[in-house]
Amino acid sequence: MILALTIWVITLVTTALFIGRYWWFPAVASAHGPALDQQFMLTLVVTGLVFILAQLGLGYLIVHFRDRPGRHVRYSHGSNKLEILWTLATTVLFFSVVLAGQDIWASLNLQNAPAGSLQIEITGQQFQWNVRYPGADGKFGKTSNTLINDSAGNFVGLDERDAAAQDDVVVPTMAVPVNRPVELLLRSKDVTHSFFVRELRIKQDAVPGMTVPIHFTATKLGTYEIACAELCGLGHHRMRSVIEVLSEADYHNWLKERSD
Amino acid sequence: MATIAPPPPLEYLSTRDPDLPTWSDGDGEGDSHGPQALPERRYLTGLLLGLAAVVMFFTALTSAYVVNQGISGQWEQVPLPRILWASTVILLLSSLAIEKARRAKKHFGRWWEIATLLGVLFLSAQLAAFRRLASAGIYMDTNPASSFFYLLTGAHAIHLLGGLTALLYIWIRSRREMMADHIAVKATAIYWHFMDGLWLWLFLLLLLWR
Amino acid sequence: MTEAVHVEPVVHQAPQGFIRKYIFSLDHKVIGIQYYLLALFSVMVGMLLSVLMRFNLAWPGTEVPILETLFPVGAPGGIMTPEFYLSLMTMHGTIMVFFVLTTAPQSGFGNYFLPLQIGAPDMAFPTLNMLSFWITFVSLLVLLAAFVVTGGAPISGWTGYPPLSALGEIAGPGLGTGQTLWVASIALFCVASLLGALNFITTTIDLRTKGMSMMRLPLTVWAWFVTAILALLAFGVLLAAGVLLLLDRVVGTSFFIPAGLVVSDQMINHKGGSPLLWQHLFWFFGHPEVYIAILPGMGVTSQILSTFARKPIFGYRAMAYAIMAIGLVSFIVWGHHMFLSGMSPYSAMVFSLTTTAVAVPSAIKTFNWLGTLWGGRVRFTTAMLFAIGFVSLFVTGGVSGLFLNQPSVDIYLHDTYFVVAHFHMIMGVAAIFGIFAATYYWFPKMFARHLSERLGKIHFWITFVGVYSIFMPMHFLGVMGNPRRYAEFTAFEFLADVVPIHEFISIAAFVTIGAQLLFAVNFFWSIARGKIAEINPWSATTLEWTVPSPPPHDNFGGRAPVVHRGPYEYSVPGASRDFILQSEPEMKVVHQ
Repeated sequence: MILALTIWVITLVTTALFIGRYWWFPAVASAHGPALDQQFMLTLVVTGLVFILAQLGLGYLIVHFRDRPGRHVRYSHGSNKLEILWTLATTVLFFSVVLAGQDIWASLNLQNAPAGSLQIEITGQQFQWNVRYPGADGKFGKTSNTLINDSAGNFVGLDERDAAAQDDVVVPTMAVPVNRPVELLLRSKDVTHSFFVRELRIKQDAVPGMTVPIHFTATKLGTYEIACAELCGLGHHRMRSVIEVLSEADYHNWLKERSD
Repeated sequence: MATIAPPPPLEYLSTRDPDLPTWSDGDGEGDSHGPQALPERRYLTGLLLGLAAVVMFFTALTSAYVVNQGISGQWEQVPLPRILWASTVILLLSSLAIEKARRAKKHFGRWWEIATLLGVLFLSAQLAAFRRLASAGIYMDTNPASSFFYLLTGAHAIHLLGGLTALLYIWIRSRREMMADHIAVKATAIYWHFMDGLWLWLFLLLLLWR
Repeated sequence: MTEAVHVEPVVHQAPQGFIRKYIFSLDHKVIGIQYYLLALFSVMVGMLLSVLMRFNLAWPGTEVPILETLFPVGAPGGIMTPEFYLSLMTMHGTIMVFFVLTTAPQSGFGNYFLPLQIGAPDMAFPTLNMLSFWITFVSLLVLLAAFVVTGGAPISGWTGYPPLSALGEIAGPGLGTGQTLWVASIALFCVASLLGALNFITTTIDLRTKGMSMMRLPLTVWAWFVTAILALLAFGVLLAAGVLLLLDRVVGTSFFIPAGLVVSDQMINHKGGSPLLWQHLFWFFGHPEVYIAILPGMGVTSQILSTFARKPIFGYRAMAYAIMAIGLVSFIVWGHHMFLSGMSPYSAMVFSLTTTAVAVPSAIKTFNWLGTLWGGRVRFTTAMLFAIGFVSLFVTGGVSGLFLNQPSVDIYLHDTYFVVAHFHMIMGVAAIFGIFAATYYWFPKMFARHLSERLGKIHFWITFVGVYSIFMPMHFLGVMGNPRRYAEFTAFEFLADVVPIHEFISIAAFVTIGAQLLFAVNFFWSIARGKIAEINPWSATTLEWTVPSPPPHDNFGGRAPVVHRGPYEYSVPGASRDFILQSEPEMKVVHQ
């Protein structure tokens, strides 16, 4: 009896907390974000119903069928009809939910960044983010790991002999213009990191030896925190930077200040 | 009203009951462990399962080989020492000798001896191949290709060493007793042939996938 | 040997002498208890680590003088360092996954009860069985040794992703000797598990007694059997990965280390490896490992629900097939751990679908458990409470999986506390509930005494409410974007919001962990003083309940029981009592 009550109370409290959204997502600030949040909500509703029904049902069964005088057991080995029914039901239900979300992933990862996207290269290292803009010529200059020299401030190994490298801007924080597609090229020079901005709903591992592209469009002005989401060593919890979403004009000023 | 009588006493089979034909191993383990000896076929089941685990181990190494060769920019092919061709032939011959031994019941010991010696010869040939590469300045940590060469051949050699121990053990025992039909011989033979096949697989991999 | 085909069984000789009987025993029951005690010790260490972790997460930077006395390096001035936190976390995960969740339900209870339930005198290879226990033991010692070497325990997490785990001390404290010991321990554990798995499978295939067809196996045996198959195929791959990592660390190869790394402003001399290769190999093992931990719990839950609902299990065949299906599918889902790892986004979509397929047999199991309760006569023993708790936790931990198997939703939730909540619910506490249920259920058989039901029920209540209080809020932390594996939440503005929740979780954790002392007390007190148990105290049907408690050295006294029916014949209409043992002969109908 008490067990059933406890299960019900736990279920209700959980449900209330999810419905109340006391602790929730930060407001979305990217173009693909709303679809992602919707998919989360769809999944929440479906799994929530499954959760509530299963827990309430479990509670009901143990109360109703508890051992008491006069209770007779219904001897049964099961029912194939029921087995087939709930196998099909769960298959259809779960696969529909998952298939519904595939589009978002496909649009983000199977398609290349739109033409004319702003390219920014991010290089992770223990425990900071290095952000490189191609500068006025729009081209990233050559880099080489052998030229990396943190103490001299050359965090990404820019090759100064390359003309295209002369105007590259390497900074510890980020800014992007609002409503313009951005392509990030994620790299790492030591261990695996992961680039995570909550408001933009983006996260991607930065793997040493690879350059992983992702793209997004920021839709809301503001300053958001960049966190590392893959364990990278003792300073993992403080590997922080910020990304400012600025108007086109502010963005150009921001970049200009930093290219001198 | 039909009711059912109270349950009769439980039924047991004694170990001598013909309904339990498998309780007939009587090896040392069973003796000291209890009167209910364990069935002999468990050795073969266990061996096959063990080989399944070995397959998974080498599948993992193989996929690592293929993946890393695909992505690595520093892959410098290892010149395969020619002696590997010889060791391949030696290993095949040793398998042949084992089968010969199992069929030539009377001269089991003689053929088994040959198989064992061929096994030792194979390992020596592998060592010679390692030496050949080392003298050319190619070590395990030289480049990704050499790492894999030593890894694959070395892992195989260690597994083969286990088989060789079994060969030696049976050889020593065969000098005192009739071994040809013994389960240990069958198991060792299966393991050895398997190591044979595994070597062919690895050798072809090193030879062709480059 | 060939001439000695038939050996007449002589008078049964159990080994005499303490060492052969209790230390290097060949008896599967002794080995089972050894495994169980090893897991019990490990779980205490693991919980102790989580106490320290939870303290640091809720109140970072607090000065606790006693910490400095205990850990002069890890907590200088009484304040834990981030690297100390990470080493606790790594060891907590490794100990819990390998030495508790893999060890107790499978190697512990499986060893003890699989031969008994199929009517066998022992495991197929008793010597191998002993060997696998002692290798596990050494493996644990090697792992714990990492605490006391220079630099301390590794900080790369239980998943040990390279390059962090491959580069050595330059990448952080604990990544030198500590990390090497970690890899060595894992490799040893793999060997032990392979030997154990081989033994379990052979035993199930070859040592079933007369009449014990596969479709009459108790569901516990099905679970152990499939778990062993998973272990056999998965641990070989982890062993390979471990060997490669060890070579990278010790010999200087570059299987997992790409060229041109610069760590702490120093060029690293490695060339041409792939960090993702480790992730593929590791998760190829790692996902089946999750089922290695949980499947035995499912088997135990089925067994106990049927026993205490006094009803045959609902849909026995569906249950057996579901176990097989889960096992099979578990080998093609590993990529769902890697959606954001940089692997091909196409394969992410495929892995997403295969992962969804796991939900189907899992749901079948849940429905069948509910179906078993339906129309039964439910008795609330402590074992039953834990089994019902298992079902509840399994549902809760299962549904959150449907978020994480979608690559799109996973973009946000990956590596947040949502994941921590999910896997602790299903692989951690659900599996632990399976272990507890099994303990309360089988204790009378193992020690001929009952655990105290009163203490047991208090233990259950605190634990059940406790684990929900700990892990339910973590889902919200994940929704808020709280990344996992952070030593403290002080460096980010947005993480200020999560601190109160972490404080609540920590307090809940302290209470819950404290309650586990009740279990420890109950366990050891009851071995000596518990209520004496009958041979078949629960009126259950499977073969282990037909032999004395504890069962004699060779289980069935040199005879083999004959099995006449399926495992869960409860409340058969017209029978004289409400259970029929598997080995009871056919009954004659008496007309009156």
